[in-house]
Amino acid sequence: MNNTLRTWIKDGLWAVAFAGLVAAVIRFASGLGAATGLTDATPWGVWIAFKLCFVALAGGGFTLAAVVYIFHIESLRPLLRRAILIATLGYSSFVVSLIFDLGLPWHMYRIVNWQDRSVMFEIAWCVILYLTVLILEFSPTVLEHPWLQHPILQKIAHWLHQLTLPLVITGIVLSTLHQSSLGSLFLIMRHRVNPLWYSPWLPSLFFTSAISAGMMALVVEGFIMERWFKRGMRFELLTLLGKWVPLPLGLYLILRLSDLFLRGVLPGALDGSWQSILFLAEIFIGGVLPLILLGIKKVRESRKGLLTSAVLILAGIVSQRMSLSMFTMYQAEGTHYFPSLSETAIALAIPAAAILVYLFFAENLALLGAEIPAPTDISTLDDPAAFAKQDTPGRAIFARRSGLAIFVVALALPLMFHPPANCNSQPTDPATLTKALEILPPSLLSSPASCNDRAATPVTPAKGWDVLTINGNNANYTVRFTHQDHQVFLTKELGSEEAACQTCHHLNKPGDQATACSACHTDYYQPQSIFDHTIHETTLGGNTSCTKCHSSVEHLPLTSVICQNCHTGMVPQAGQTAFNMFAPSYLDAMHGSCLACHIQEAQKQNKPELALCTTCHPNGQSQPNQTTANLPKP
Amino acid sequence: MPTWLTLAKGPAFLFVLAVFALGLLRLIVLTVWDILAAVHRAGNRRMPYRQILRQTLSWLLPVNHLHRARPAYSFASFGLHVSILLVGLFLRNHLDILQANIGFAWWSISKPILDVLTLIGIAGAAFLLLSRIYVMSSQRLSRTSDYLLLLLLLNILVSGYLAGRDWNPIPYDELMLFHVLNGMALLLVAPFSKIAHCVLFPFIRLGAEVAWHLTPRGGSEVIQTLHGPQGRKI
Amino acid sequence: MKQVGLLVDVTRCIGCNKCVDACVMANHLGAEHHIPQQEADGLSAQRWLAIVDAPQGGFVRKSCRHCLDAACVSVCPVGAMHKSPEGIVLYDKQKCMGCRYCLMACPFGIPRYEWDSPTPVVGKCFFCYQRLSEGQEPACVEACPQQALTFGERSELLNLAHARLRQSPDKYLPKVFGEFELGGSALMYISNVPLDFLNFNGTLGERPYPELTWDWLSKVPAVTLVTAGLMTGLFWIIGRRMQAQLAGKTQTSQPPEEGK
Repeated sequence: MNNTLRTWIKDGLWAVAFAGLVAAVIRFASGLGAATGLTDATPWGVWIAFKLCFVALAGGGFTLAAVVYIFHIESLRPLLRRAILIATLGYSSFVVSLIFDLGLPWHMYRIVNWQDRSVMFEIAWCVILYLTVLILEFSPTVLEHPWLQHPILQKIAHWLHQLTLPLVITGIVLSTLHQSSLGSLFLIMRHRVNPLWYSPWLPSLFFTSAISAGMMALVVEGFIMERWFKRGMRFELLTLLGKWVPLPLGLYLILRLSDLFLRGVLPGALDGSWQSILFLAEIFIGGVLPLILLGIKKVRESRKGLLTSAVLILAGIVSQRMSLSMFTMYQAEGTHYFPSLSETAIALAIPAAAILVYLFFAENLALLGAEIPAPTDISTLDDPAAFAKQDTPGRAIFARRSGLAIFVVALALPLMFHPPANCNSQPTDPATLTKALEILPPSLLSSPASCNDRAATPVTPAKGWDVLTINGNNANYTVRFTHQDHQVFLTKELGSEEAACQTCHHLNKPGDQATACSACHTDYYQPQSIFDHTIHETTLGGNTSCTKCHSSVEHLPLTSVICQNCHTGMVPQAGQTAFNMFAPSYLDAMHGSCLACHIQEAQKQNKPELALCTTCHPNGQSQPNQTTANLPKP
Repeated sequence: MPTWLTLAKGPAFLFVLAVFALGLLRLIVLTVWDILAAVHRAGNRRMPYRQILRQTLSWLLPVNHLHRARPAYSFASFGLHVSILLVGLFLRNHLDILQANIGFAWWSISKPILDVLTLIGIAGAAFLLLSRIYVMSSQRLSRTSDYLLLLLLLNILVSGYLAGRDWNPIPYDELMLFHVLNGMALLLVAPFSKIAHCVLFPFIRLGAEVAWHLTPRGGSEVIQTLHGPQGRKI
Repeated sequence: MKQVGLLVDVTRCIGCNKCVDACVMANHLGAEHHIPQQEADGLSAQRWLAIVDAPQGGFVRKSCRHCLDAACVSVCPVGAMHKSPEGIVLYDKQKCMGCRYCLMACPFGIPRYEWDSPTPVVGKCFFCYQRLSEGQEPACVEACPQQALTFGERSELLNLAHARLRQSPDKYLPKVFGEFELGGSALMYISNVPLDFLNFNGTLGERPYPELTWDWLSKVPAVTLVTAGLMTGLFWIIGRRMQAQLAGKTQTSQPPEEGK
């Protein structure tokens, strides 16, 4: 691998990290809804799936510690530091990812409340403690650096060396507990998890597979570091890992398949659905095939064979974690989950940053071999040629990274950040809002439909003549409205036919006399804007048209003239301004106008049944299937 | 919404805005970094900071420095700068676009004043462009990009002025699309062209002053830097 | 304290939504702001109670069941979801850290989240706990014009429900929904239409959900001790054997020397 390629790869990782940074700002400024594809029906997503993978890949830390310290297999000691660093970074990624995932991460300290029935409580404590153990285990390596040769620091390093064995045993216990508990997180989601991935033995499955994944992560890392630094692979040790991994992996496969078989779910794997194909691929390509490959000595001891098997095993276990927690979880009842762009950016930025940290440590510490590598870039200020360049290494790096950051951030920002929709029809007018609050019950007062993605429920216009059939939500629960009776009654009450009509037909379309309710109240549940700003603006002449309606430069509905000034045919209801920014939903409009009058009349005429729900919705329920067929034709 | 408004309130404009803001920020950081490095290397570390500050401030208000030999040029330049800054940053319509993109804006200046300023700006830009073309001393110093940037400015000012007129002969939506596209181009090239002086201006005096305090052999090293090790000595 | 409960008589509901309005007023939930994250059933972080149309006709209340052994209470790592002495599932937003495990674990999909807030909390019915302590009934019960809701002690409500089933067996399905499902819940239904769509479809069983995890969690102390003991033991035994081996090697290599 040459220098240019290395720089490009690093730049790529930095770019992913920068994109994640943009997403992180959006996440904390606007909340989870703006930054993720999570919903009430799908409250956990790709972040949780990735967290499970981080911890699985970090399984090498406690496995190697057990192998070297407990089983006294000293030959694998050269891999130990790398295993512990990978584990430290894996768990750090877990914690960082958690900070994004939690709705109120600053309440994390509440974990001090004892909750022995909660798996997550146990995992939280194990992860916090194990991360501490890992940092303590890794710090002697850091303290070897020439810059940190202070006597006090050396004393600390010495103490930490003395503490190794208790730390290792604590680490193994904690890992055993939380690696398996991550599986038991999903035990209580029996109604959600796909039966092919669900198992009462999930704790054991997670534990055995984490050991396999941790070992194979070390193998793959060895190959990558060989390409990157041209040293430090120790192929003979990796072969050893390849020789032993069939033990935990085989156990995992046997446990998984036998549980499915015993509970009688296994036939489901053959039904040909995409889940079953994924399951079979996971088991055979990601499990059985590498198991066979590693069983053959010749394959195991060839570079290609070992690498292929390791990658397959990792893919199989990552697939198990992701399928369980994400892919197959939300298939029921037509719920869909797809991570949003910013969610994906954060999910990817965390491992990218972890890899950069890994490279930093590998470049500056005795990680791959015994010696600390020499710094690659020596600044030569005395050299006249260097004066010409005038760039100190720090400046050059900053100039490169910041140049990269500008384009990544500038691209990521518009792609991920959607400013709150600019709703023309937001009920900002205090008079309108107060009016609306008087008419509408609070449960039904909501923001206009143009501001959200909720599915619209268009209104079917009322049918009939003397008796109108109102079939609002298209569900055939109809209300029969005696139009003529109301007309006659109101004319008598108010003294004139015109006043009677205007009571209900309070606002008519230009040139119309009795516009139907459904013409403006077009959605059954959501308020709709009845004013089209664009049409008015275009017809009145673009930029020069503002002052024709707005009295000041303030571009607000409040400063505009009322519709009647131009549309003289419009008749507002008594006490209502003709310019409403939104029409209430059909349901609210109907209930609002009917109920107000019915309640009034019930009191006046002393007929309480007039105001009861059952008067219009008879028999306790609306009447289904009452169509216009039964009604007299005009 | 017409195309131009969709464009101006949409993601493309936010991209341009982010490149503009972050790119200029990066230039400031790099400039300060370089000046500090130069101060660090200079033999004489005693800088007349007070004098530098005074000069910078006095250059910000160029009444003191109007070029006596070329008063017309100076007036045109000053007028153009004031016009761009005030109209660009305080026109209600511009602030609405900003509001739609980043969620906040500030107070605006009333339109009639800005109309007059736009006219001054158009006159200034036109004068500068013509003098670059016809005055030999300017012509020799000019690069292609200098003409193009002035042309870009002129496009923006003229189309913006016309769009607010009742007698505007060009179809409104097409004119505004032209205006928005030119504006976006200007913002996009700002951190990579001489337009960057809009934020680097305060550092020019400082940089010039620091340059005089370089090491004794500094001059020849500058020449070497410019012409290579075999460069001519002064 | 006795376990309280709420009985819903689906046949009486006319879908007037007055209970929803009362709930909004009593709990100061304010105007609803529709967000794309919420479900179509009408429940959200600002709406803790909804009347949904049953597929076979009729109107059915959807809200928190207040399970006797609630999954959400058991999974909460910080104790934000907890039980009151009366058996009501309460939520303390001061404790919640927003892991949304309760949303994942609830088999009825009841808790909802404030997705559009930078400081989000969970929203769900808590039987107007404040009003109960003041000696009032929940707001929805008070507001119902049809007496479709009855609040009281759970055992008494069960008696009432069975009495109604006996009285008019042709009017109801012969079952009190929520009596046994997942160990029983405080919110119970008697209905003339099947309530499968509320997850009362028999697949959940009668074993309380928290027991699924307790099977493993109860073993944690044992696993801890066994692992720690095993590791220490193995370290010691293998270490000794290797020392013995080393010593053996030196011994086996020594005798010939002595033999010389």
